[in-house]
Amino acid sequence: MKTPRSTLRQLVELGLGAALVFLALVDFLDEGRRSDGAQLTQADQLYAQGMELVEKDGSAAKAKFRESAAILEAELERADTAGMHFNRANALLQAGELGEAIASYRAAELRAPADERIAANLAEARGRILRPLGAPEPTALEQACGLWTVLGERTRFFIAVALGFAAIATLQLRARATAVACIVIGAVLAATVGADIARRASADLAVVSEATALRKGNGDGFEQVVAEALPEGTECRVREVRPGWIEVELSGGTRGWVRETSVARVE
Amino acid sequence: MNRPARAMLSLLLAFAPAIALLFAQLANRWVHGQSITAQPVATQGFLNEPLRVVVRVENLPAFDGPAFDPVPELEIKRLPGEQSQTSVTIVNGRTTQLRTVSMTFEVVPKQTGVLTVPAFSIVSEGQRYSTTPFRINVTISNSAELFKVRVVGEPRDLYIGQQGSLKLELHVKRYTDANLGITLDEQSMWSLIDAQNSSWGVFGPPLQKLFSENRRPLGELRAEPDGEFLVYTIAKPFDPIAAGTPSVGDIRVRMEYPTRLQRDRTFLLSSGLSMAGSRILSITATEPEVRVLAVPEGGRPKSWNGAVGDFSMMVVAKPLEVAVGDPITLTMRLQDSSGAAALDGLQAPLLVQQPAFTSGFRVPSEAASGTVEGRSKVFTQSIRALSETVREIPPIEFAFFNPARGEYETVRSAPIAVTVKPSAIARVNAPAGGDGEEAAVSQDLTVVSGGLVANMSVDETRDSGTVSFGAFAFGVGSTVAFGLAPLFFSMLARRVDPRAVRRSLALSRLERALGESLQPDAIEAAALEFIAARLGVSSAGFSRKDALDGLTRAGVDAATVEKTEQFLRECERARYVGGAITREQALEIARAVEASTKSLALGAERSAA
Repeated sequence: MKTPRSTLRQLVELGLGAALVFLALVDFLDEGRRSDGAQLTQADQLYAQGMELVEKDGSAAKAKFRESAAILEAELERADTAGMHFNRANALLQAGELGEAIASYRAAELRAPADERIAANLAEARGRILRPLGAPEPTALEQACGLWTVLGERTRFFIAVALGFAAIATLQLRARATAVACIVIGAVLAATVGADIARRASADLAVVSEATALRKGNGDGFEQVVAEALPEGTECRVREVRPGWIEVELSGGTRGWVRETSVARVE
Repeated sequence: MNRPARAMLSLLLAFAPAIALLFAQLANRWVHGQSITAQPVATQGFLNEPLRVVVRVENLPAFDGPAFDPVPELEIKRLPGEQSQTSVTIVNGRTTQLRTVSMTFEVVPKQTGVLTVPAFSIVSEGQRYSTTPFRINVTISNSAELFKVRVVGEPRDLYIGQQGSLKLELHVKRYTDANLGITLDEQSMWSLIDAQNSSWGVFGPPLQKLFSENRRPLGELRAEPDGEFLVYTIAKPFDPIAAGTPSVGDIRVRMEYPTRLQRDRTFLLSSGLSMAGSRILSITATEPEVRVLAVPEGGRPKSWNGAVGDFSMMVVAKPLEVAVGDPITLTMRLQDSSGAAALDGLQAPLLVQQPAFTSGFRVPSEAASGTVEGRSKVFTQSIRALSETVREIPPIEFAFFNPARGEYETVRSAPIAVTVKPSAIARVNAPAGGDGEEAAVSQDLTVVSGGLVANMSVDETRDSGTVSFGAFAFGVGSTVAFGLAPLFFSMLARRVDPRAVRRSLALSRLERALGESLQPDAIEAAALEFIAARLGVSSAGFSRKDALDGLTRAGVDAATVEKTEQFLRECERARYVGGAITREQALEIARAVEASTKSLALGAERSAA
């Protein structure tokens, strides 16, 4: 039979372990800090300069926006955050690169699905599509992920880990019912975070970055599936990838092949 | 020889070279015909009308000039360019070359009477050559009877805001040569007009345009009191911006009017006409015959914005069912039936100045720009209903000055019924109670949909907000690891207990022993060792009875205990009386015992022991 002293010792050990785990998690999750703050500030300044020039000199303004987008693209190699994708999308949209901009908005949306600013600007960008065909229907996983966006992904994860440690502690204290509740809630929260990660990993979206023909096969010799060229900004799902060509599926289920260089992947 | 004669001879001899040179030069001039002459086209001049004088220089290869002494009563100027002509004559094998250079001067008399045109002089190879001065008789010009230049407006009276046209009319009297009985045609008369050296004022651009299209004004024959005139007309649109007589610039037209014709004959014996005499007419345009009137100030409506004409208005609105704040496109067509309204400068009715509009609609503060279609102008403007209580687009007023009636008029469009539904419009500081529409208009803010929202801040962009797969695996893994740690350590403790090890390895050791020998005593010993290991007790002195008692105490079922006893008895019997015990028999019993003791705790084994 365990003595109170040994239980106390185990709880102290457990607390120290939990603290170590949280410290490691904070470091893991602090991915954004790996980015270069000076570069991000420069990108922000270039964007502001572009906005100043919009009325006076359109081409000079676009050059500034492109420069800002290029810096953010380089920074995304260091740290992949929703904010960087969003700001890059804004710059691209101002520069007139509609398809690339929508792809970046979708990437930002994948990382912060509840952010209203991303949703607003994505809607604005979609409104500029010459002949909008609509976005592809969300998958079951994407629909499910929409259910728990009320709590941020990182918040859910911290709560799940904390509940796990709480369950271990309550087991030491023989409070089995509380332990089971903590385990169930923690597991559910962890599962939602896992689903979010899986959704990002399995993202198969692409956006037409320049008007292109949708063909029946992976070559220019194949006939077109639809007579009109797919307008820039058309969103689709990637179904197959072959060298230089991608098979895509449009919102209505129409499938066809487009040149790889004509679409921007949502990553 | 007498002395004076000798002195004269000496003098002659002394000057002989100079005299010889003088004679040689005179002879040379006589042989080659070196001369300068001035020939007027007529000796009759007219006051202020240029008279042409042609100066010819013959057989002088290079010269300076001609120069002349200025005369106050004459204005003399040289016309640009010169003509050079060379002819070669061979008579009896002797070649004579004649080179003539012709230059033209214009002499404009500034007073009447007999005037002397001065000599024209040139200097060639240090020698001066001069023409002989000649006289001309100058009288008052009768050019107005031959050539008139008028600027007339169409219409003659024009209000600011109207558009008309200005016409430059060149009235040229048809020339008839009485001797030849020939009248020049319209094309010949136009060819006498010197367009190049004339000033056309505001009519220069339209004339240049005609010339660039290889066209020219066509002459219209008109019978006037002075005779038959050909009238050449150049027109331009006229959109007056100030009252009074418009400025048309410097208009002075020159023409060479014939005074005598002659018939030319060529070697083909065909005949042609040329001017044997002419006079230069340079006529300044008369005062423009047009009057620009200012619109009266009396009775001017407030909404009048400069329109002059006779207008009707048609208004179309689209769509007619909107939500509050949605744009309604108004298309206003102003049709002018006067035919003289200046539609280019016509402005749309300024809706923001019409209270009936601003009370119910948000209207642009600036006037709409329009497009001219024939005699009408179409304006498009967007308005937005401010409230769902709006039921109609009120009549639009348009005021204009009607020049035919000489008074202001106002036309109004018919009201247009619209359906306005509520919408998500932010109303900031909406008035509490009351239906003061004006207050509502001034305090409502309309949310403008569309447009981009700002970038995220640098701090926000650095905040990932997501969980990477590595972090997820680490978090879940470490939590599970901490949760399973007690179990792991318990298992580890069991793994290091020799009794537990011996127990778990009991069956494999039995199999190994059976593989080495199938003698009954060996099998019996291995079986007892197996049961002792499973029960966690020492095998030293472990008998059949100890085994059966231990199994019974460990809670092994009676059937297994009985089968075990029977097996051990068979082993004993075989050991004494002989007989075979198979490997399968031993393993069957061992598996049954292992299954029965699987859940046996070590503590229980001890008590069983």
